[in-house]
Amino acid sequence: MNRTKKLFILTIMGFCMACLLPNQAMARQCVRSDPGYIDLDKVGGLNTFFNRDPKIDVSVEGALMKLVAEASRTEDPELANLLTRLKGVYVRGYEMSKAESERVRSHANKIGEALVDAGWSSVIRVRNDQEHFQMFARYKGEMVIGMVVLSIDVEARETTFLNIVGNIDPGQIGRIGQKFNIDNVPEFK
Amino acid sequence: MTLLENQDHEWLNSRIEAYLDGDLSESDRVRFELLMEAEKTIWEDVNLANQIVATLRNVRDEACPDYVLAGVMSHVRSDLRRSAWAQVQSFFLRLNAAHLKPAFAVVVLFLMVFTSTQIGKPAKESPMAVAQALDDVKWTLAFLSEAGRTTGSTVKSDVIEDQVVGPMSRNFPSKSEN
Repeated sequence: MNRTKKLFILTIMGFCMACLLPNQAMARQCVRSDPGYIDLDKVGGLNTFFNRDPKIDVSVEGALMKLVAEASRTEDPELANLLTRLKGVYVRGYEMSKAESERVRSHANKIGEALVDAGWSSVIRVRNDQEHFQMFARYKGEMVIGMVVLSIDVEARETTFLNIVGNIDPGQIGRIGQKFNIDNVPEFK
Repeated sequence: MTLLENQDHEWLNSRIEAYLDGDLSESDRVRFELLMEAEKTIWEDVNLANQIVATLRNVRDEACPDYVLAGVMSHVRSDLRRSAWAQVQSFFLRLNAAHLKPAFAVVVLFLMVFTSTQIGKPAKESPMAVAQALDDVKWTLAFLSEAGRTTGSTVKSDVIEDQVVGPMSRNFPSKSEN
């Protein structure tokens, strides 16, 4: 192989690597193709079911999640450490009347069954008169890569659907979450 | 052989086509015709040329067959590719010069690093949007933590108290009851 060909092949390889690197970076941001992600609107058909917009609508993912992690690094390094391992956080919260609660419970059960059929594991399930709480996890080996929570609070007349995508340590989430108060966030009061 | 001088011959030969096309000036045309009358061979040459022109004018334009056109185009493309490849080769041959290699390597490296940092770079968000997103995430974590605690309490009171502690108390009455 002559020197020109060698140089040419090296150049092509260089450009291929240059193209490959950003593709990997973009793939990291492509949360919605991650097995730990579920489309809450699609899987549950929530907007159609409730026939109204959610009271709580959170979608923090990709680049924004990275910025959020960086923003919290000085104030709370442990939180930043947790957030750098998360790829996306999605929440839909709806108000409901007491009369609706049974219908919503039934729908949540159907969503739960669909998740189990799709390979999710039911981790916690609590059902009583006042609340209906289900937590599902998706595993990759022994690692939790996705978490879904379906919560119906009959007393508070609220129902919340939540999906977290990424390398999840439930213990760390519980510990860090204790530091924050739900009522401290004005828009969710 | 000829009554004309060589100089006149050359003058006539170089103007036959112009004469037939009617492009000669009036004086040249008159001179041309005078010389032509004096020299029969010139007249024959002009006559032959006139016949050729007339014959060519009567020939119909023939369409080029598709297979010929395709063959020609294929050759043209092949030539263009060879030419482009030759240009690339010549470019790299020029780069082969020892003093250009490091510069070329630096440019390629710079392009790699620049592309990877620019394309994979997170989109710019306003500080307010980031702060809002941080609040959203904190609330979500708080919600999960709260839900975990509540669920734990429920499991403890509903399951452990009712199903474990209660039956155990009934089966093992305290000393005071004895």
